[in-house]
Amino acid sequence: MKVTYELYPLWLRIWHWSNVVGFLVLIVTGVSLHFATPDAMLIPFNSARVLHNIFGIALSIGWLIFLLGNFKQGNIIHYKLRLKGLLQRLIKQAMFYGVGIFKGDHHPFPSTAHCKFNPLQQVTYLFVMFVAMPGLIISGLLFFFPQVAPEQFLDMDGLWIVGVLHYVIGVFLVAFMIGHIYLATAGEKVTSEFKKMLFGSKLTEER
Amino acid sequence: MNIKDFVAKGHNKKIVLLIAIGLVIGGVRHFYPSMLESYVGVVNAPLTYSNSEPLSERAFENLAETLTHEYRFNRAMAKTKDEDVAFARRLKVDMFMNTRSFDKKAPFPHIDYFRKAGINQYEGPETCLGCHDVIKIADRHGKTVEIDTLDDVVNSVHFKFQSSDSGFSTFGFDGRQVNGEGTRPIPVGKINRACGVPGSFTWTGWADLVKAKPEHAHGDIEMRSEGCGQCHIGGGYHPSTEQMLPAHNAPATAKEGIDCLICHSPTYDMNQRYVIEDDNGKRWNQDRSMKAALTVGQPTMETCLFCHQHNMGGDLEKGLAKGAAPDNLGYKNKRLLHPGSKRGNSIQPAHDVHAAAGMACTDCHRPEGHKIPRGTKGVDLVANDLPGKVVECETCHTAAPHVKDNEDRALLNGHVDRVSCEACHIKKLRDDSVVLRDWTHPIWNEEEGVFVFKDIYQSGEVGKGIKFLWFNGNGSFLANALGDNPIGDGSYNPLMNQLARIDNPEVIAEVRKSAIELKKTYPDIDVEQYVKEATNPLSVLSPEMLEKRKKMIEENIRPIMEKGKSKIYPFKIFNAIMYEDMNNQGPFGAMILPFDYPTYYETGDSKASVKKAIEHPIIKRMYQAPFKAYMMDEFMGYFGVDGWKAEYPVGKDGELKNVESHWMRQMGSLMVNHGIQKDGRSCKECHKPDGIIDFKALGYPKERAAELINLPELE
Amino acid sequence: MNSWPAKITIETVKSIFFQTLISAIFFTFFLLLANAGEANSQQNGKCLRCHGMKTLGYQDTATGNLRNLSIDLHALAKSDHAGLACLDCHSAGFAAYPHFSEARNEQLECLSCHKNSEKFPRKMFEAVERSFTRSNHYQSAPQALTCFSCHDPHTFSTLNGKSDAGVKSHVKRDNDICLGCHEKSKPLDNMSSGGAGDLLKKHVWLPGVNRHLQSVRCVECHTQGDSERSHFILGGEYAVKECVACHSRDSILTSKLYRYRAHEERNKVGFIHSVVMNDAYIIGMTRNQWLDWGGIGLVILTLVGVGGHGLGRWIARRKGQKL
Repeated sequence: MKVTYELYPLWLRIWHWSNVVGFLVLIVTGVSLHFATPDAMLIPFNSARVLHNIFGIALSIGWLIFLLGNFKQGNIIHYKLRLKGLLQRLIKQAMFYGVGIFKGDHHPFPSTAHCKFNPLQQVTYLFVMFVAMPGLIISGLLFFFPQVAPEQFLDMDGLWIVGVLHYVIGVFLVAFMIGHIYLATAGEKVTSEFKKMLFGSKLTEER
Repeated sequence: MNIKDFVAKGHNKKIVLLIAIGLVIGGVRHFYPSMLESYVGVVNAPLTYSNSEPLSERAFENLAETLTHEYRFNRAMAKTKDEDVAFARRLKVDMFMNTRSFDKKAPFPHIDYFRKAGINQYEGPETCLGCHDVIKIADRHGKTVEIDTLDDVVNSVHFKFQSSDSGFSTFGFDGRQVNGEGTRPIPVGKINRACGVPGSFTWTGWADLVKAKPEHAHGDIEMRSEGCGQCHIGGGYHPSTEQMLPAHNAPATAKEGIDCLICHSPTYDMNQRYVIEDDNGKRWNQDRSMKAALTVGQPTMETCLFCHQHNMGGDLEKGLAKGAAPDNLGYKNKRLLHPGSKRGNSIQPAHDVHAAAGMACTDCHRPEGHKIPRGTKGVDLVANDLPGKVVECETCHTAAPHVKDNEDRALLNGHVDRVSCEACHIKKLRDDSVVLRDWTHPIWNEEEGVFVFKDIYQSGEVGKGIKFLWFNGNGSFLANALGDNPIGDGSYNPLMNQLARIDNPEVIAEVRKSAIELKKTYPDIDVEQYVKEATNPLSVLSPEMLEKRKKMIEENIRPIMEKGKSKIYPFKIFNAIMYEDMNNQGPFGAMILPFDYPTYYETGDSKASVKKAIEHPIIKRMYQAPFKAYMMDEFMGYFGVDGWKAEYPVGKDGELKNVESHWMRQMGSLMVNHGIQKDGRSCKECHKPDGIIDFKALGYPKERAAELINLPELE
Repeated sequence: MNSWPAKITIETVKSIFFQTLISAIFFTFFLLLANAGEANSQQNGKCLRCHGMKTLGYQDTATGNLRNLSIDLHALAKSDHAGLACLDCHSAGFAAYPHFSEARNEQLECLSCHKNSEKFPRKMFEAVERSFTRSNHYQSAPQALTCFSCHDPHTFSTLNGKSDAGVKSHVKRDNDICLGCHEKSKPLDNMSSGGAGDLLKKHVWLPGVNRHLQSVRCVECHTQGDSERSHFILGGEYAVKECVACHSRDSILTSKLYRYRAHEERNKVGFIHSVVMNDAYIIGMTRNQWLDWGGIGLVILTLVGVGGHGLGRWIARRKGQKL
């Protein structure tokens, strides 16, 4: 029996692109806030603050929707890590990015209905979506409710640790985003992955 | 379907079980109270009062008219009290009585309420609860709540005289706060606090009839009433013992005996308060007349003093309000007066500025329903209905109370941080304030025709009857004020010094005089030994006991002395010599044994009186295992004794065993807060060499003490 | 005996003589000073016997307000004026008790000691006076406020600002001075400035207004320049109302609130922001150079890595096409 499976359902695509917009705004405003100077490099401090707050909340809601959608729509299946032989698979995928891709080898782990991600992707996304994002959101929200933050942490202002955490995760996610966009060009064609994320990608499998 | 089928069906086993449990509970509920009653030897029976009589409509109206007239007449008399010419005063009174605006409002609203409700007989709480079954009260947060009136009264200290709750400012000599952390709460309070002032306690001295041979009767016998019950609002044959026992409440008959009117009726007739005897035993009569009932209202100074006169100015105070207890001793079986007042702390207008201002007790002791606050400070073991609720001068007088525009006001206010208001504004107590009382050598009183205790020394003077002590609001289990000098050198130790010794030579001379007088009746008395023990009660402690005492003070009591904020307060000091159960002796004293009033007053045989008193079932129970486990062990822990030795102090020969007469090993210190005088002390009363305050003894460092008695500003 | 001059000249005698003389003068001076200290404390003890009473005071008969005459002995001992005798400021009329009428009419001036004195560097108090007289506090009501309105000479200590008590308590102490009059929700009707109005409402433009009022001193925004100039308080319309004044690397806080810390830090490490960061996190100002460079470095490295990989793929593909 043949089964058709949508790898990128509409809700996921909407979330993904709204996330893109949110992230870009947050990066620009975040940089403006962190490296604030009287003659604003990018966006004046006060506007940056407002935008960063609004998009920060939006991003958090988006993440909740993502979480909800994943469990409701079964997309979570792609995040299920199979530990057995994980290291070998990771090495195999790394070898592909390091060597095979230049030789025009085929992707070692093509998308299936059970797992659309390759092992490296899966591990990275798991970390980004379930560790880094909550950390970013919680540290960000703590800025709204500073009274909840610890008064003192290791003899320092409690918000300090929150601030540094927010900054470090932010920087890490910027780096991730760059890598993410770049690797999206590593599909069959340079643009094919972008098209999939825009218009969806149907997979037909034999069951 | 017969029972067999019913049970056989299996699922009905549960029902049978439920019925069985129900039967057991029902049985326990029915039998448990009567079991307890017979165990502790108390009796409950329906209470009747002969003065609770129905009035005819006409009698009612006559009474109403008389009461209203009397009230207005008294007001008019008060208003014209400055008029010297008797005739002019009479005319003025007449004018007032005919002036409409002088008293338009009916003074006694209950006359009209009773008339409309058709109430023509006062039948105790039942009558009051007919309308006031619930009352609205403002709780501490100002929120109005509705509560059950009877419940409120029955659970108030005025009814049960004890509490198993925390909230005592009393600390045991073992360092634990009474019913506080680390304790197993026990019911304690006035009900089971043996005390040297009355010589007995509520269980054995509730209501007694004494045969007196007063001088005026020329050898005939007249009956006299005596007992703790005369002042307490329960009307039964015993105090509210039931509420002290596990899982038990005051029985309905006891609740019917509550005397609402003694607090609520200004025309309550204290002559109705005497002991009556019926088939079930002895109890105190009450005024349940319509006359008293028609005038009910909020308590006034006069109604509070029906009972509290005893511990304020005392029984011998003169010039009291009309109807006051000491002037109305009973239509029959007159109550015995108690010479030697407990505090000598008069609250009459002549001696107290607040009484002179016409204030009511409840202006400062602001009640919540029937719970009346006694403040956050207290040295004695009296239960507190509203712990944490303050009764302080500062509430009205602010933290800067001296307001007159003179040059010293700031300095006087400066003293507030270290010195209590009372220290300066109570200059003297009544002369008949008892300091040392001998219960063991009764003396025949010709006039009353009874044997009475001998007050070895009475004084209301500073340094004699009053001592200044540091006080942080806490007291020891034997009523010793605790506190410490905030800048002290650690030498302040009242339990070894101020409260353990009398060294004023004048006082010692007086004590010797009394001892010599006693020797006339009791030739065995060794006067010097007697004086020594009375003025230095520690002298009877063995060296080991003395060491233990010092250790316990440093380890258990010192930390409590150092708590909170201490100020210098005046205390009325008191000690008594009584019989003690030496099996239960600690470094601070031994369990004192009560006296049976009739034996004591009639025969003057103090030992026989003790023997009789401890025959009371509840004392016997105290010396048995269940009571030991239920409360006595814990109680003695606070007392500074390791565990209660339940050996009944009467030998096989019927004589007292291990019983000796001793003074308590230190004097008690009673808080005095009334009798406030407008003008305080002058600087030089304290700040001079040999002033009324011994700064060195209060723990001030030497230099500071020297500075305080020699202020250049006072030259 | 090498150290002893071989030949005793008149110069040597002179020098020895003067050295001795100077030593003697110094010694006497120190003795005097020490004695003065002793005398001061004795004299002060006499005053503080009463004024050390915590509840010394009275209700003013005119206003009904409590007039507190008590002096906190611990704060006094730690204050900058601890070494002075009470009578140095409170003139001789106070030598004996009672001193009722004198107390009422006493006029004290800080500047009578503090102005034109060698003891204070940089003509500090002249600058303070200039700032104050130009400030709104003076201009709007010239006689209403004095130094004492804000500074209690019995507790004042410059060390307070340098103490380790933490920024929050420092801020609170200083702001409490302002809030003593400018109470949060009460309009200042009696101020001729036309009423400052509801303080919170006025500052509502500040995000997380309460947080700001707890963490920043009023004077940071309401004055400009260093601490002497911090007396030059102007009306609200002239206050700093720009986020980046504080939220930036060149935050004005480093020259005011964190002046002492910043100074210490500069001496220790050479750059300021990392230690400032230990006290309070301030967006834009709290930065750690290592973290900043690390972050930028990570992004650049990623870009380089991605670029290199892409180039490799591009080259490989071109090669492949050629083949």
